[in-house]
Parts: sequence; structure tokens; C-alpha cells
Amino acid sequence: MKAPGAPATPAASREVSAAVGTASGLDLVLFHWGPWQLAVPASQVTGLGPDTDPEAPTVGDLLELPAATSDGGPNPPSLSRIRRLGLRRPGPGLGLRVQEPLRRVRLDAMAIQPLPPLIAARLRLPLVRALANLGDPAGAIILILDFRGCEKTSFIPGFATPPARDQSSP
Amino acid sequence: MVTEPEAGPVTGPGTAPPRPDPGDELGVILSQRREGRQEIVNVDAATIQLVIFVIGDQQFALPGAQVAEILPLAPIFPVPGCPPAVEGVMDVRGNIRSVLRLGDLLGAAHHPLARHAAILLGRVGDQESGLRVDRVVDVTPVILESLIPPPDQLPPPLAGLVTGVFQRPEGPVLVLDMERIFQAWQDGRL
Repeated sequence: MKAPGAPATPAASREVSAAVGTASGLDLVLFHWGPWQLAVPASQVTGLGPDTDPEAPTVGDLLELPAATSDGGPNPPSLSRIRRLGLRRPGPGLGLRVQEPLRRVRLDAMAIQPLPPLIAARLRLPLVRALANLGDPAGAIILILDFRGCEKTSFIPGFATPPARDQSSP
Repeated sequence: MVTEPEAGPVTGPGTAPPRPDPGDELGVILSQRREGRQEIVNVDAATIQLVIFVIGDQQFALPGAQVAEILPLAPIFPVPGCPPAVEGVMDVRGNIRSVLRLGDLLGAAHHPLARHAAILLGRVGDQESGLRVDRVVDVTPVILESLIPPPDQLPPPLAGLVTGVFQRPEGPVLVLDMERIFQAWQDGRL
């Protein structure tokens, strides 16, 4: 897969920029964490690189998911290489450790669905913004994350701005 | 002259058929059938269609009008950051729907997952959600007059959700209201 943040030709760049965020569909970067299939809008991805900092946060940390291992975890080892995904968000960028395989797909707007109301009403993680059915494997549902509000909703030491203290609390 | 076989008296309204001799097994069976038939043809009684199901050892029911579908267990995908009662989401012919363990909401322990387990696709207005139950027992009309008000001593999770109780041979059935369940969940009361 081509790194999402890699320089593109001017023509390709125009094509992507016209496609991203239009009502007809959305470009997404798909990745994994254990058994979860996750995605982030391609417009929020700044780059993809090797996993050089084992102390960096994982997507599992953000989503409070069980640890995914590269040796006998939920995925076969060949699918479990960790990569560092650069993400754009308010304030400093975020380098997030995710599991391969990664790929870029364009989803039709009709394939992207809001969170079911009973889940939206009680979800503690605003990072989880939408769902989609890729159709592969049969019926697999992916979680679409939105990092635009990450600064306000998540605190990862060294990677995010600590949440503002509630002035009314003691 | 050939005599007509005994067809029994033609009983009109208000005429009770003769009670069979207890030793007459066939007569007892025919009597039971007659009584059962009388229940079926009593079309004037107001009824409500109920989906009767089991969670653990307790029978519950929901109005059929609030159950869009009864679905077999299908792949369910967990969503992080949800309360434990949320099992996840599932695909229902292209629509992604939440799946909640109904027993967790009602304070009733589910049996271990088995092939009889089902998902009731509840619908209230434009909201839909799957509710996992251990087994669907029946979908049947129930005479409204046979429903009695819920007892006062129901435990808190059930107190606001049960609208009535009726008896089946297997025991009492607590009739729930989907709208109350959805509302209580969204209000954080479950």
C-alpha cells in the first residue's frame, strides 16, 4: 500500500482532494487492532511509517481495547506487524501505533452509517464516529474514527493535550 | 333401517356438552378438543399479539407490534466504549443495528449462548435495535383480559418496564414495553 501521506502527483492530488469529503463517498485508511477493523478518513492521515517507538500510544490505548500481540494474538503473526500512522488533529499531530494490514479504500456514502441511536446515547468514546460494512469478509463491520476532536477527548501522555480541568470541581 | 351414528347433540350457545366419563379416554380427549376449539373461535375477545421468550428461567413477552423481526444469531461486532450490556452491532440486510443483551437490562442472567438464542429486532418509531434473548417460545395472540397489572414488588429494573403479567402452563410471563426499554436505556436508567 502506498503511504497515505506520501507525495502524490499533482493530478492525483487534485483527484483525491476532490473526492475526500464529498457527499458521494469518503476515502478511508483501514487498519487493524486485534480482531477490530478500524478506519480513519484519509484526510486526517499525514503519513505512515515504521514502528520506531514502542512507547507510543496504540489505537488500542485510545479505544481501551485489549492488547493485541504480534505472537499468537487474535491475528496471525503475518497480519500483526505494527506501523505508525501519522494523524492530523487540533494541536500537535498524533503518531498512533496500529496493526497491519493497512489499505486505502473509497466507500460510497451509502455504505457509511451513523452509530445506532442506543449506542450513540451511551458511548464514552467520541472518537468512534460512524460504522461501515465493507462486505469483506461477509458482513464485517468497521469502526470509523474521527480524530478532529481528539484533543478534547483523549489524553495520551506525550501525545495529546491534557484535558482542561473543570474549574467548578474542587 | 340403518341408524345414524351417534353424532352427539348439536350444542347451541349456552348448552354445555355432557362431561365425559373419566374412564372414557377418547371422550376426555374430545372434550378437551371442544374446549380448546371454543377458545379459538372466541374472536370477539380483544387480543394482543405477543412474542414470548425466555431469558434464564424467566419468561418475558413483548408486543408483536414492537418486534420487527426475530433474527437468528449472526456475527456481532463489538464496539469499544459501550456499557457491558451492549453486545455490539450487526448487519441486517445492509443496515447496521445495535445488539443489547436484554437480560443485562432486566437483571436476568442469560443462559450460556446456545443455538436457540435469538435476536429480537425491536422497533419504536424510527429507532431499531436488536435485543438478545435466550430462546423465543411462541408468537401468539393473548386475550387482553388475561393480563393482570404487574405486581408492586418487582425489582427496580423491571418495575418501570413491565406493563402486565399473564399465566402460561410454564409459569408467569412478564410483558415488557419496548418503548420504555429504549427510553430507560437512553436516559441511563438501565
